[in-house]
Amino acid sequence: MGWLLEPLQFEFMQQAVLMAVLVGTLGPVVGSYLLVQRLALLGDVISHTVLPGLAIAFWLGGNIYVGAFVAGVLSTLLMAGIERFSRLKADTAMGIVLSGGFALGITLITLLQKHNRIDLSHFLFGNILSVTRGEVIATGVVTLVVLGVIRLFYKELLFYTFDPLGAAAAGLPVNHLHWGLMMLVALTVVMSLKAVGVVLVIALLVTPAATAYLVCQQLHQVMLTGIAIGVLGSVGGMYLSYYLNIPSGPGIVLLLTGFFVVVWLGLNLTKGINPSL
Amino acid sequence: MGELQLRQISVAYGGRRVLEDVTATVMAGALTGIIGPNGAGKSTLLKAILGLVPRLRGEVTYGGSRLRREQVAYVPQRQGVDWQYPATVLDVVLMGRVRAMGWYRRFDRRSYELAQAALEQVGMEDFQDRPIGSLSGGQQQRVFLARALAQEGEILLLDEPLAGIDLKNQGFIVELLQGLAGQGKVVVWVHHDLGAVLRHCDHLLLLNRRLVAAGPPRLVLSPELLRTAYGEGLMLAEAA
Repeated sequence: MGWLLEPLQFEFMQQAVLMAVLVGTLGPVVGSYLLVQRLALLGDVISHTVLPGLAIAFWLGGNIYVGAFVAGVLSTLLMAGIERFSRLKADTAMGIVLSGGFALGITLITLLQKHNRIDLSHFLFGNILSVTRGEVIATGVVTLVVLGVIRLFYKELLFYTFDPLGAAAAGLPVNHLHWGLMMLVALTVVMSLKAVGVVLVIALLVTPAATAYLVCQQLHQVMLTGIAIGVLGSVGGMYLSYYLNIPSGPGIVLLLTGFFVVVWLGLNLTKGINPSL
Repeated sequence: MGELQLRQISVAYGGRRVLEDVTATVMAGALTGIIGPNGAGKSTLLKAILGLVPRLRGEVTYGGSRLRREQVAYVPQRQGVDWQYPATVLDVVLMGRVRAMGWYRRFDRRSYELAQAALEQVGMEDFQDRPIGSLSGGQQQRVFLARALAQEGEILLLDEPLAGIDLKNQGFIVELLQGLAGQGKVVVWVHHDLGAVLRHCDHLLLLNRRLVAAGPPRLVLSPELLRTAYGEGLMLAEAA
């Protein structure tokens, strides 16, 4: 147990653990909605396009998380705009916005790096061991808000994400629900940046929720099981980062992927033995 | 009890007219079918009634006043949703109560009772805790019907409720719809082919972007009218 508790004597490790628990909770809950709507890649687009917003906010001396959030929301608007005003489909719009936004972000940050000390790799691959107290508190507040919103609108969001047409016919404001969800995704991505980095945020959104989806029959079960998996993976990945001296993003994502593979293989192997399962 | 009045409904998608000046009266207490060839605008007409697609012009009234969405229970095409969604049968039927419950509130006792009653009405009460992904097509359609029943709408609009469903379930569903019409509801369903099942309708609307004919099946299902709506291709297909 020493290896588990010993690092916790450092304050930065305590904060990293808290951060891991928070992002391990946020990602799977919000990611469940992306999964059931087949919008998993949307999370990837948002995460890559927050980078230019982050850079511009840094350059202007503003809050980088606010900048990142604004850019993330703008990217979803841009994708909707491309779809609406051309014959292109969603996947193509995603490809264009993701790569364009990411390229712009890397360009801006590289230019900024020459004059200021801003480390690109922290945002790309995550550095959970460097989170500040302020970041943990902000993430905690966001987590409470996101969970509260989802609890308040749970039955409407369930209806909308299962059957958007039926929900609209019943008189639900489906556009508001859609954009509300997009905001939750953008918030989640932004708060997870420091832990996993833009390149790998998608894993936090999709992989734990997908693992839970394999074994659960109801959306709230997917969320709760996803949280358990997400928290385990995030905290575990943080320890990997500490002991192996690797960026925290890959550590967390490798664990999450491992959980998925184990559950997926396990299910298929038990099916092979007993097809009725 | 009232009648559903459609006046001069016109709809266009991306500059292309898909419905032109459709005017019709749909009576409560009768089972009304909408038929017509592919691309005739059948599903679009249901969506236009609900205001789910923008109407270029036209209005819909029920009992003399503007139709409100909460008066309508809509059953979309079964193929339009992902049945692998993590939800149980009861979860889906309760969706019919979301609007009636209002924001921020959890489902109350009455909603559960209505959902149970609706499941019994469609013969699915033993399936309420089953994941929807484990159901057959016919069972899925019954669940969709139960959701519409739980909604307690005075008007039922169903988009191809018999598509891809076995004959036994087709018979059950048509009987259920007849029963609902018998209770004085407005029941309108879109049907995808010209099968014998249409004989069970009290009233048919034959559509091909315009309303070609309206009336009882024995009048509407005449060779001349069908040829007008479907073109000569229909007769060739029947001969083959």
